[in-house]
Amino acid sequence: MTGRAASIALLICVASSSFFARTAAHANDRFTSDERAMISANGPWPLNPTPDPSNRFSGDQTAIAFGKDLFSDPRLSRDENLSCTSCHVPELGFTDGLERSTGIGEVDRNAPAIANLANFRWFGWDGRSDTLWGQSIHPILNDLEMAATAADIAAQMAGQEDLAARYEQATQTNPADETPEAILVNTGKILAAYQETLRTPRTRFDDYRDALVTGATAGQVAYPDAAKRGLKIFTGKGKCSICHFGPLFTNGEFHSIGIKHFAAADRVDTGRYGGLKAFRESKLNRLGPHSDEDQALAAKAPSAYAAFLHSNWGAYRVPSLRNVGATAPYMHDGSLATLEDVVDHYSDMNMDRLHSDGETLLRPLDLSAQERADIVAFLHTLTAAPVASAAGD
Amino acid sequence: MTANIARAICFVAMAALLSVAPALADCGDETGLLIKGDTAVLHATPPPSALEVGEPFALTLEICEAAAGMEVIRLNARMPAHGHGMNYEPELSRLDDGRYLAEGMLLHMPGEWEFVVDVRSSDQSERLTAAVDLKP
Ligand SMILES: [Cu+2]
Repeated sequence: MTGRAASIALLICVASSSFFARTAAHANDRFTSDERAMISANGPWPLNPTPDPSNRFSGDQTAIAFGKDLFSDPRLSRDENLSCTSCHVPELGFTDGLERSTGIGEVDRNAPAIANLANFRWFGWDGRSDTLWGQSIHPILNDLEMAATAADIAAQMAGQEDLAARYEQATQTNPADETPEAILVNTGKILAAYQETLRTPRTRFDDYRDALVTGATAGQVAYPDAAKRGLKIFTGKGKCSICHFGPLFTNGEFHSIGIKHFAAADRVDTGRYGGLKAFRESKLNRLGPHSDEDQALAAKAPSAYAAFLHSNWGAYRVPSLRNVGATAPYMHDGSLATLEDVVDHYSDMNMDRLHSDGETLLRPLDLSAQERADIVAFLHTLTAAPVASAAGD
Repeated sequence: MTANIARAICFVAMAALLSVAPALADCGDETGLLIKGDTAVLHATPPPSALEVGEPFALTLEICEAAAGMEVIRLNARMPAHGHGMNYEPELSRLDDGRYLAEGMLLHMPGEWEFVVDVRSSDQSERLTAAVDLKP
């Protein structure tokens, strides 16, 4: 054997032995039993979306197809120049890539991604609605977004031949016979029926999670080591998965994480506090005159028991992390540009910005550069292809 | 002598009876959670093992034993280590059979929770707590 051949043989030996060592480690992948339980709870995926009992058009194919077209129809805005897709751009994970969205004026919040909504309890960054249809009406009416009125929407639905025909087809009522309020509510419900069909596909994480649960070695080996290290921090010392819990990577609740409270020099964004107040004052709820749900059941829904708490101040709904790589920038005000910035935020947490009586769950993590990169590598495995409509075309 | 033996047997029998005496048998299903204090012992169902993170549930409370006139007046849950409670305010009602029902409960994180139950009679009150380990 020549020296060169010997060194190649040695290289192969070293490489293969480290390969085998790695393979062996994959067998139980260095997670504690608590971490494994958390990872297991992040699946299985996809979820079975349940029909919305408060929306009689939920799952209705005629309404879904109409809702899809309405979603990009500028006739729902006052000046006929803005639609839902102006801020929820399908190619951008149904966000707009901006820090704060701009309709007729600039709003204080980042456009949240629209995906997997059929499984949500609260809608909007502040949870101002417990119905997707109620939430869908908000930007149509908001002065800074589409700035229309119920009368505007009714005039379009009754006055435009194509809209009137499709409205009647979907609702079995002629818009000319309905009140503006009823038409607005139906428009919200038809938009919601479409949005419920927007779901994120399976990801590399889901394949790994299933392999970990079933013990399938090949599936465990295929997942990148950096992502595994990141996942261990995410479920372990980072405690991220306590709030980013379950198949949606969110517990659906509200937390303050030390993002600045001022939306402008003279204006505080109160977050969940204002959201809960708006919810209590709204008629567009599960328990309300426009809901299609059995009202005795709606009265037992979690939203009927929502509590005003001091901790509501400056708290926002924990966003789902599914598809997170495609929905920058981040946080309710879009103030963090990249996933690296988000990880830095938690690692270098500014405790002064948290309420003094706030949760003690958050502490600076002081992560190394390698650990930060590992968490980002893990987060990218939660993103696969663009969001697709399960209803098809 | 015979009397002494009889007395001893009687004593043992009485002691055995007394040790069983706390009316736990009245509390039905033993899989629930016992919430114990000085003035009352309560039995809660479903058991913590049946609860799921983020899923709404109603808790049924039964008084196993209590000082005279003791009533359950409030039930809540908190995470002591995190310094927060639930985001929901449960509603407590008294059922026809004397049990209590707390509706609107929702534990939104996995980890160590604590049920907090206030009991009261005309002349005393107590706050009872019981640990609940909510698994992911
Ligand atoms: Cu907690």
